[in-house]
Amino acid sequence: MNTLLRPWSWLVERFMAPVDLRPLALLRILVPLCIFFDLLRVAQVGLTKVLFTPYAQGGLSQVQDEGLWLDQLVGAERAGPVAYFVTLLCMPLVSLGVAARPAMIMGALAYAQLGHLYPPGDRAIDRVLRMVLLVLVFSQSHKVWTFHTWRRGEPDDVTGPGWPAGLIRWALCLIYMSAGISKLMQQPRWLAIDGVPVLYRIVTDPLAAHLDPVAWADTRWPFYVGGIGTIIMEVGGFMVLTRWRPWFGIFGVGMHVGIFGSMELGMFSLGMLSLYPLLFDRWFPAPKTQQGR
Amino acid sequence: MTLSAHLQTLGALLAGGLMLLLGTPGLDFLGRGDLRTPKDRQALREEVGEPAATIGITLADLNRSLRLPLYDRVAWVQKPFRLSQNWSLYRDGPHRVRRLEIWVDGDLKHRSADPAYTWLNAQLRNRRVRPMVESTTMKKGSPNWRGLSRYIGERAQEDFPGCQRVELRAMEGPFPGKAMKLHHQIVMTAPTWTPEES
Repeated sequence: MNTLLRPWSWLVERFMAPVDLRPLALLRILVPLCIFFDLLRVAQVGLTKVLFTPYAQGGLSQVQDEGLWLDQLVGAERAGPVAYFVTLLCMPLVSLGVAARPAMIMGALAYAQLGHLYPPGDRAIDRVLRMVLLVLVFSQSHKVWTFHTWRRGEPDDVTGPGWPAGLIRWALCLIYMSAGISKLMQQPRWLAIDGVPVLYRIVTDPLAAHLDPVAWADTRWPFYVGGIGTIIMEVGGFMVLTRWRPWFGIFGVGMHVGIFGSMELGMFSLGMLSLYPLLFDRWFPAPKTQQGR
Repeated sequence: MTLSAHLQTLGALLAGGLMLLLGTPGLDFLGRGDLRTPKDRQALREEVGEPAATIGITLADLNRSLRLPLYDRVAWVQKPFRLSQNWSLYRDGPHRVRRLEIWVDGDLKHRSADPAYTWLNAQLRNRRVRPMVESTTMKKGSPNWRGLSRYIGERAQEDFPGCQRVELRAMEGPFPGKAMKLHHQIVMTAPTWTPEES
């Protein structure tokens, strides 16, 4: 019996090993801010009504997802505004750490309803951020860098179980590896150094990017290097599970900044980068209270 | 160790396992019918040779017989929070250059990624609308072309009062896009403003 229990106990100890909560707290602050400002941008350009209203009520999308239930509760015309405002209300609460856990669940649920209501605009990054919010619910991220701890002047050298951070890193590993392997399986020419570079076609696609395909047509080497670098980085996603993850993080920052600068994917890059504190956790300076000791 | 610690560990393991099952790198990309027929398998053998072909075929078989049946049993857990682990991140770029042009009463007002014609740029380039613009431009009869056309028609009537005709032209051409041709178009005219695709 002991032989069976020993590995399990080792696993429990490893999963529950206390870690610095500040990287997770940074995620708790940054992830909802990305969602919040992305939704505010929708309002700023006057798209709230057309995006989050079904076609029959004057909206854009003729297709709604079967997971939509809010329209049954509050009516088809109100479902969008209700989900929008609940999400908009919950996200700053999560960032501030005020009623953070209920706000994470309510916010993620309302945000998902917006996705069900307007599936074409609910992208991979929305699903990533919702998943992270749900993992954060089970973390202790709300115990540091909150409105309350700031007001009371509480120390920030708080620790909590490490598994939520590990689980989010695991998700990042799967996301990057999945993206990299899929790229290679579909198009081995990602690694080619002749012909039209795949990366060139992506970052000069007028429907998704703003680099001019004609102006960049004869400049190929940056795209070959960028394409090979992208594959190495993504297939090497397992690095986020190792102690070399900050170095992987530097490459990741480079890639996402490049995407942000050349493509028009909205909050995609910022959303992914909001998860990067978990890659740089080993480089975090010691908490203030420990430095003072 | 407390009961909570054991439960948390179990939960984390289950969640991690679920993530791996639902989004297995490499396998999440394979469809249910991929590499099923002898013809498909032979085509792969000719394309990539051995042992890569055998590895690919084995993975496709394992995906079909092992992963997908399990996937079908547990995929429902993602629904309430819309958490599909199929990331659909950029795999391969487009093979042709495509641009959407919007003409109002014969004047070009918008052209994708053209700083000279930026009407509705903030809306049509918004990350939530962009996929709809993309599908409408790429394919005739895309799922949401009516909604998008109606929106553009309404905005044209607001911004250019008295206008009579709005055309959405889907232009297409080989890279780098010097020679673009009309692929299909959507036309709306006063007084009905009913979008018609041709």
